[in-house]
Amino acid sequence: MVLRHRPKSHEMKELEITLERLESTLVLHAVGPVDSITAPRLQEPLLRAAEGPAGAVELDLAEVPYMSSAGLRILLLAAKALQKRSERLRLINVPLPIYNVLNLAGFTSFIDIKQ
Amino acid sequence: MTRRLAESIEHLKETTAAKERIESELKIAHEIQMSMVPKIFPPFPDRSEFDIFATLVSAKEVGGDFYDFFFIDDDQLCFAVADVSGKGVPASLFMAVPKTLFKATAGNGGAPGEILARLNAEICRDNESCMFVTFFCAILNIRTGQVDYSNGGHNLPYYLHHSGVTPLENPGGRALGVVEQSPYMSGRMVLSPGEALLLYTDGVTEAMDSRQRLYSDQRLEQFLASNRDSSPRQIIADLVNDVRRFADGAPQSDDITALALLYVGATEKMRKELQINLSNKLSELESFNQSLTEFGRRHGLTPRVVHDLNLAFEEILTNIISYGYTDNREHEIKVHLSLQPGEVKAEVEDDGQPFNPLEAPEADTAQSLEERTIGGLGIHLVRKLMDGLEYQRQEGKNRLLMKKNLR
Repeated sequence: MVLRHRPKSHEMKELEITLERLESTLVLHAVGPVDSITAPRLQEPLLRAAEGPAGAVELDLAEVPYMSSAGLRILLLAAKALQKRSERLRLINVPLPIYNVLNLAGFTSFIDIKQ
Repeated sequence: MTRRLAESIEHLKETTAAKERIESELKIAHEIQMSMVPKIFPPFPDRSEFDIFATLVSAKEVGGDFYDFFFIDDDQLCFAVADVSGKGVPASLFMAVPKTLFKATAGNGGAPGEILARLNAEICRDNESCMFVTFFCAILNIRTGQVDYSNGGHNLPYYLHHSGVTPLENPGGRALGVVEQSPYMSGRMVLSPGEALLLYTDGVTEAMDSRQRLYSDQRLEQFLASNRDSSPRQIIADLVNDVRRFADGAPQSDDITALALLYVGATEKMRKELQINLSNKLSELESFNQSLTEFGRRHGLTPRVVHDLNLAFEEILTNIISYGYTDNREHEIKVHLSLQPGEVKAEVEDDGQPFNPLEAPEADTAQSLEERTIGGLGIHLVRKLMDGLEYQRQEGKNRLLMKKNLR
């Protein structure tokens, strides 16, 4: 059996990021996979938050089915930006498979992770 | 007197000859009509995913019923049953039109509702004899059992499932040849392995006995309920016999057509393997991901295994698509998955530049945040998430073999 794939533009997977301000913390809720196609949609808002003047940054991954190295790259950039003002990137509601990936990538030492 | 007798005999000879000629022509017409429906069973001996059988018994030498089935592509079997108003020569002549149009129209693709709408428009265009045809057509995906169907005023087929017999839901649509701009909806159902459909014409349910009683829907349902485990060939043979037994010698009032389709299911080999060919565009990754997820769901793989496979493929395929080619041409990347006891084996083949991921520098994951650099993580994840990796460069192609334990 051979499946010939035709990209369906109307069914393109989306990654949506919504922002929520909780006192001094900016929470980014992500819905959708973070991969080589969708990663730019996370990069812009996350780096803007991380490079901002103050406040903690939390990324909510409850609705993220998976994150590839394209997403990890952005987490690394955000973590580095936050470190400049002595903050650590926080990930919340991290699904188990993604936690495993973060662990394999060695990110758990510089990112705060709540499952 | 002698002369009159001689004339009479001459006249009788002529009419007998004329009758014989007509009969022989009708016999030829019957042969032509029967040659228009597929009669060799099994029609696709190498396709084990389904079993099909059909029969057409004309009331007169020629009739207005027809059935047909054919593949539109590798996976989709189109099948239909139809009945032209009236019987005899006019009906059979008229039937040749939708029969021919149907095959041409279905081959152009589109849902069954669209096929019927196009057929209807064509038939209405030059329909001076004001004949019409009831038409049921469906497309079975032999890989998944999904059936899309549409109905133009025809008797609804029966769905023979594990717990009984029920007519399909009517998506709505009138007989073809009546109103030019008539809508035809498509319905959808899924056959599980072991389930079947029975398509028929009203020659079955309206067969009459000598006291003009009808064979009836109820009798057909009862028959199907007690015979639903038989093979298509057996069901059709027994059904025709049951109708004959019921008619008990009364002349056949209408053409009898019946088609049974049993869904066996994708073969074991097919079910446990997945072959996907994609071109070197990142936009192809999404449907790849969906197919892989569907494959995992079908085989009850854990979400963790499906996740890890999806991620590994995402990394490998992104790498090939983004860095594997120096020309701007389209290339094919072949992915093959097979489910083995306790593990999934995957193979990715591409004709890009030689690249052995096993030789890519190892990412140092113990580095501090300040020291960490961006690259190398993708390959690192593939190595860690998969339980076995092997690389070969053969005949100008990269072949990466991956193994994932199911645990």
